[in-house]
Amino acid sequence: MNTPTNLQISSGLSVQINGEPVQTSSATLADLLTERGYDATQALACAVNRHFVPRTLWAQQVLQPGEAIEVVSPVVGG
Amino acid sequence: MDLANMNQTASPVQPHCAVLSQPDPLQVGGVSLNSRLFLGTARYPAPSVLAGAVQAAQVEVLTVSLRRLAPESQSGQAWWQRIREMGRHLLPNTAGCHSAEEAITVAQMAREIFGTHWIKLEVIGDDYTLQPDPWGTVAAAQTLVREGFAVFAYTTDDLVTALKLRDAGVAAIMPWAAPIGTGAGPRNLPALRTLRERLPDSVLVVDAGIGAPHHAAQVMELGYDAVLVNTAVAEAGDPVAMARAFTLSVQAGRLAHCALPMRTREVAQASTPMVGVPFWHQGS
Repeated sequence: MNTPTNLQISSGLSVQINGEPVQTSSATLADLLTERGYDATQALACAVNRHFVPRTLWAQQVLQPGEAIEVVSPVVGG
Repeated sequence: MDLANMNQTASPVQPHCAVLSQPDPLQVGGVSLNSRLFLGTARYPAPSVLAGAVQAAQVEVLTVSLRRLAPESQSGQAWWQRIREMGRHLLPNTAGCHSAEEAITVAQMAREIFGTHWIKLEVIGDDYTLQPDPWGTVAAAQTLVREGFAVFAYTTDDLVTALKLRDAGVAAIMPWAAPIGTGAGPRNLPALRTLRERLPDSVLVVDAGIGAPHHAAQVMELGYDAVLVNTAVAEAGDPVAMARAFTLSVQAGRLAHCALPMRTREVAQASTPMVGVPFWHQGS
């Protein structure tokens, strides 16, 4: 039976990654990164809704609908 | 020839710094630097050219940045690997940020990724001129200093903004010579001179708008502590040679500053002694 809660789980969350809307079934930021194909062993840093989330907290960062996630990595710069 | 001895015997006046006879390190951000040229890492034709420039110029500080990463482009981290292998001090920037809040978050991300508490703070107030926003820059600097960052604050040549950045406790104040990427050279030398005079104890680094080695020498002669260059090296016909040229010009400017340049005059004054001039008053 599809309760509203089940519907939400089955259709996933709508969030944004680097400005792109995505649907995800991941519950945490760490899971989302894996789901989207990021290699967490690489040099990455994340922010959620413009707030920095340290790498040590990725697994505890529970995703909420509509959140804007930034995933950045090193580039050259002046 | 022993330049140090020559200097001492030529004049009874003691030089106000002893660049000729002993090391002249720059103390900034908790480290001691022998090179007073900071180098940006963008716009080089290839990583090998950047590596050659770093080697030729013997720079110790390299600026880097952060950008959004797409999963499919993670192989693009080759540049980063190459830069990391150079073993220099990294100065991450907050380029592209338009508010204090954005800059603070980028600084926090940079600290984690690059493993440094150094941050080159850029808060842009106008997209056309890339002129920094003084209010946003000062606000971000205050927060970042409280959070333990060594803030290298990019700013204009405005004196009051620089004073407020000093009061915020930044590691270095980095006024522009001209807008980023123009290569126009110092557009307002009197303003840069005033900053040096009014902030004698602050580390001042000219950042942005330097287009040629003589621009770097010019601001170093004013007493600036260092110069940051990117485009002028990266877009030179031979970036490796140009990097070396900048190092030499920075050293020349530093030495000239310490040698106390002469005062300029409005009218001519003969440098050759006038006494005993041949044919003096003989008419013709």
